[in-house]
Amino acid sequence: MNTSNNTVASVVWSLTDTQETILRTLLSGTSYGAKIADVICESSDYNVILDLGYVYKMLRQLQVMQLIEVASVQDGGRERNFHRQKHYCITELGRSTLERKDIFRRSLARQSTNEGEQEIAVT
Amino acid sequence: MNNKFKVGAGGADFFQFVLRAPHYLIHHSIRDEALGDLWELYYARVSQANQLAAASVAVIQFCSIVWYSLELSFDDWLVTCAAQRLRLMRRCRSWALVRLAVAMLELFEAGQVQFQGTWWTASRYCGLTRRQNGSPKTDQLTKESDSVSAGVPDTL
Repeated sequence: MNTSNNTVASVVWSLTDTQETILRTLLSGTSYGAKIADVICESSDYNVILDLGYVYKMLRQLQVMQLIEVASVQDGGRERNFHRQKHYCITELGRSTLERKDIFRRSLARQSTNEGEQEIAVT
Repeated sequence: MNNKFKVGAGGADFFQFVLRAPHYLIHHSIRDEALGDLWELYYARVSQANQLAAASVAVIQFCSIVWYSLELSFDDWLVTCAAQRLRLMRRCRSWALVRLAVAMLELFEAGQVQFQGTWWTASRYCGLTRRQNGSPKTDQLTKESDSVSAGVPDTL
């Protein structure tokens, strides 16, 4: 338990923003590279446009970090020029990492709010 | 597998190589899915816009995939280098242990030689002092010192 906590803690600090965004996209279910890029693009009102190659790089890094895994590999049809399609899903470690990150953010926000209130009380 | 590029073949094989260039340029871990997604996006854009625009966007995306493939390859190379370095460090550590053992052995042997030398010097000194006293002859002294040296156990 302690070891897994340490693993989560080490992963939390090494997670970049893009990796976290991709992880959160996968929270809703399995998805593949191009769709993940599309979802991020659409949900940010086309403010964030991710390169397809960058998404694959991030997916590979997340896979190495064991935060995501390949859920299924489907044979592609003619529209994919007979290339396979890999669907990724989030792992338990990925979920706990996101939860940990959320907890950290909440506590940080609470602390900054308390400090702000104290400053107001002093003035 | 039949359309694999063969080195030293004619123009047809070179054409096949050009056709398979994307296959060689993209990192093996993302190759299949990346090319598949690229084709899918291309066909989707062709249905929405004209072919030229779709092709140019696909080429740009292909270039980005190649670029990040290079980065992935570089990361892999770094990991391999780090592993090799780790192996080398382990080997060096074992070599250091061997060197330490040899050095200890040499020191031990040096100590033994020194001990024997000291023993020999001491015996000679004793002999000389005895000769100075005028009691035994030189030949007898040498024999005596040899016999004394022979009596020293090797393990010391």
